[in-house]
Amino acid sequence: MVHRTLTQYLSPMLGEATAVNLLKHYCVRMKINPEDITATDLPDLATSMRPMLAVWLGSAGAARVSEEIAQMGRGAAVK
Amino acid sequence: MRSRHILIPFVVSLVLAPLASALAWTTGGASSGNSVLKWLFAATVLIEILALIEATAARKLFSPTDPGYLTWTLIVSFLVVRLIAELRLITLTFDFVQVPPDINTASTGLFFYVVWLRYLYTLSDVLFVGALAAAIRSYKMTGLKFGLMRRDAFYILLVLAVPSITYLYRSNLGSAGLINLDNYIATYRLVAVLVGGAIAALCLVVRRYASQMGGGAIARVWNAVVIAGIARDASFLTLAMISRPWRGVAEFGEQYLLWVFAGCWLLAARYQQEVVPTARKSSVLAQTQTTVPG
Repeated sequence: MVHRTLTQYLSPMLGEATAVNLLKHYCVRMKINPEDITATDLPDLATSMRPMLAVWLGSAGAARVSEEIAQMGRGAAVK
Repeated sequence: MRSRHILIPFVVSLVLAPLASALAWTTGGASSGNSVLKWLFAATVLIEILALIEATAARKLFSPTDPGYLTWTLIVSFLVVRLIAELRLITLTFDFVQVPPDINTASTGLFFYVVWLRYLYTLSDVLFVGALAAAIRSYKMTGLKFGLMRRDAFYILLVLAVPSITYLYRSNLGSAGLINLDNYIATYRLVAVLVGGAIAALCLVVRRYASQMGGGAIARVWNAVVIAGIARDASFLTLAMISRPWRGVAEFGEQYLLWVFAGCWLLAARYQQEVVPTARKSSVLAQTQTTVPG
């Protein structure tokens, strides 16, 4: 579910295929199954994805997107 | 200025420009057709100025350590050099600079201005090649699987054949164009089409990578750049292939493709700035925060 939401969030910017591959790539690095991502994983995932996002969005854009992904996790954790 | 405010008038212009040219030729003959051509050229330069402004803004999105910074720096440099070359051409097209009928009788300065400074276009194209190479490098740097397919080799060979075809029709290269001041222009056009072939080949690589993204705003940026690159190369091919039988059509076709080139650059630079849009981003965030389970 989190995986799908993240993909939906990233797809308009990066394209669906890239969004899916990006998540897979970082989930492998974090040794978690993409389907098993939880809201608590999001801040770490956002931090690790930031350099790759900067390639296309620039550092400032990557920081914004990364912060929003982290916020998704924090927002859900508060609830 | 949002990209859709550019896209709609641009698409309309793609329909209106040929109609205006055809109407001018029908009602006023070659001189009217040539006037439309000159004004389309002037409008193209105006769009290139706007594209430069937007590309400069797009470059500011990247910090010097970002891979995109090099790409957009090269794009801005390419547009600056090209614009200088275009301003030179404006002075010649609208007779701000008087050139003798035989350029070999002109002063050294004027000869340099007319014959050698046209290679500024070639310099700008080399910077374009650099920008495309930097973009390809950026894709590779992500570590994701972007790669060429077997059929891409065929397409690349096809675009690399454009300089060869142009070479075969080289006798046509000096016979048409916005201005014809000297016989050295055919050599320049052959050089330009050679660099154009490299641009088109790299554009195909970028196009493949962009298509592998599965849509999205980044792919839209690079698709627009690819159309610009192909249009630039095709403009020379058009001139080379049909200028002998249909000179008017060839001259308009060349300028029309350069109009496409300028418009696509303006769109690409604008699209880059809209990759992370503030308004949509907030709404997506609000939506996702209600759907992400804790």
